[in-house]
Amino acid sequence: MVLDPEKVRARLADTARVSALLTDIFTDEEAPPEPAVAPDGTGTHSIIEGLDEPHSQLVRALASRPEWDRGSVDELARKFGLPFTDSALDVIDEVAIEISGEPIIECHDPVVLNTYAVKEMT
Amino acid sequence: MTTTTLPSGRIRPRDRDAIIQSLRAGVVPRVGQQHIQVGRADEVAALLGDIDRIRDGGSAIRLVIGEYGAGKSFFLNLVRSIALERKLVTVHADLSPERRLYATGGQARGLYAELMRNLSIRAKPEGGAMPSLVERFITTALGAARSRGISPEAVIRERLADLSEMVGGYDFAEVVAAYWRAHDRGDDRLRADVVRWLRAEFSTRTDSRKALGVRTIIDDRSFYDHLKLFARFVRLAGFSGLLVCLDEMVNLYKMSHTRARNSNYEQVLRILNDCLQGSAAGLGFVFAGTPDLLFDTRRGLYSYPALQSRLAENTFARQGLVDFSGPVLRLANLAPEDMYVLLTKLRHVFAGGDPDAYLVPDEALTAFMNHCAARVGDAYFRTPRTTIKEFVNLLAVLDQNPSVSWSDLIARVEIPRETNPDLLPLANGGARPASSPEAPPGDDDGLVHFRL
Repeated sequence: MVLDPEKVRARLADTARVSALLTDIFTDEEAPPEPAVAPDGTGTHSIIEGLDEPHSQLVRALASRPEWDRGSVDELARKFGLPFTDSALDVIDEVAIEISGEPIIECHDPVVLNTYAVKEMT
Repeated sequence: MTTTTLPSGRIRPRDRDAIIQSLRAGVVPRVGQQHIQVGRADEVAALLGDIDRIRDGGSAIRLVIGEYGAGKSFFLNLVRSIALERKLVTVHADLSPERRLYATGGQARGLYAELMRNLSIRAKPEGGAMPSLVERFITTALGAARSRGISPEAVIRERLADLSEMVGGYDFAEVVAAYWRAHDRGDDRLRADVVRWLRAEFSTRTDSRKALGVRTIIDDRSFYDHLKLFARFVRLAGFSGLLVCLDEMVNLYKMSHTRARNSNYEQVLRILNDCLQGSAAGLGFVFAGTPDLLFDTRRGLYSYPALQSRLAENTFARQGLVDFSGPVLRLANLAPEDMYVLLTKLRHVFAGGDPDAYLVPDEALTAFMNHCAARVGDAYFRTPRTTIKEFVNLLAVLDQNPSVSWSDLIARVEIPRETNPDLLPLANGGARPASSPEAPPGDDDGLVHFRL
């Protein structure tokens, strides 16, 4: 079997092009979220970029502990107006992947957090 | 021979492990495809353009045509990943004798059900995302209900109002509203019935009426209308659009009854017309099949004159000239050079992206290929699943046993021969044989063997 060096070079060049294209698609390099000041001007309660207020509140509440029993998370989510815990966690995960490159929720029951992603997000 | 240089850049250990784990299991990695994709930059760019058009509320359609082993299904998987990354919802399925675009015996409903079971969003790329999608829609409605001080159900109905003018839209809205009621009351049975209805798993109107109070079901006749409806719904749920990926389209070509086959081609034409005219908002299709499916003038898509004229390739795009703007995208066969570049990529991934950590020199790559060629003949690079798996296994052993020499190990690599199921005799009625010892049904595509 003999490889055609011309073809190998062409394939490598094409591969470099596609890698660049895909890297661009799969790695989001977004600006770090800017802390928003609460409308009443007090404190620094911030909305996490890419999330609405209820989901941001849930992330901040969860960030205080690395692991939660599922019942408490259901309760927390409901308190913030998010009746469907799983899909709320999915929404949070999608934004976490954008910000940190990793999901923030390692497990849904019990809810286990990825401390690296927590640090990046909050 | 020196080490081939590739664009460097470290690969995250998490991605590296996930890629290697998938390749060793013979499935397409869910993450890090950018690290193992070989070539096809123009093809990927073309599909990226399609995805962005769908995102902008337009539509798109592609027929990905390639021989057995050209990597059609691998390509489809990559396209799906890109779509998910771009916040589209994807559904995918293989066509089969039980799953068709048009039918009167439940096969179109069967296809719809399979598509919806595989419904994926970025947070759930492995499928099963129907409940998440509905919940996503309801959650946004709840936010609006709170701020406007009205009932959630009123907002849900208001938002679904523009679906009611579409075929099947009224009942669709009723069913989605029932999901919220089910949640509100803690009625798990009703919630499960909603999901079943949306997945076209109700087979009779009577059952549907009893369970959900709606008199229609998603059936053979409403297959495509419901896909269009669903494309609207995913946008209401906050996603950018819907991409439908259908593999093994060659199953239509294999249908022996001319009328049934033509009815399916008519459905393809309807979809093609809608997509080319941009009237299917936020909806795109990628079909994959072998050249027979397209070019055979007796039984292929070309046997249907209206399709032939729309799908005819640009006569100028020959002899090295390309045109990626038409609906047909040809995937060239894999060559040994592709396999070689793939092996360099696998070595690179295994080393975490660090050329200093490469476990084997370039000579080992060609030696490995020579060994495979000697074992299974010179077509081994067209059925790369096992070749890849064995190569990654080889690297794993070298990694853990630094005293072993790569040349000794290569001599011991066993590569089983793979069979192209398209070349196997057809069962009655033109269906693919139910099983074959060497290749599972539906696996007709080399890299296709990578299944999620």
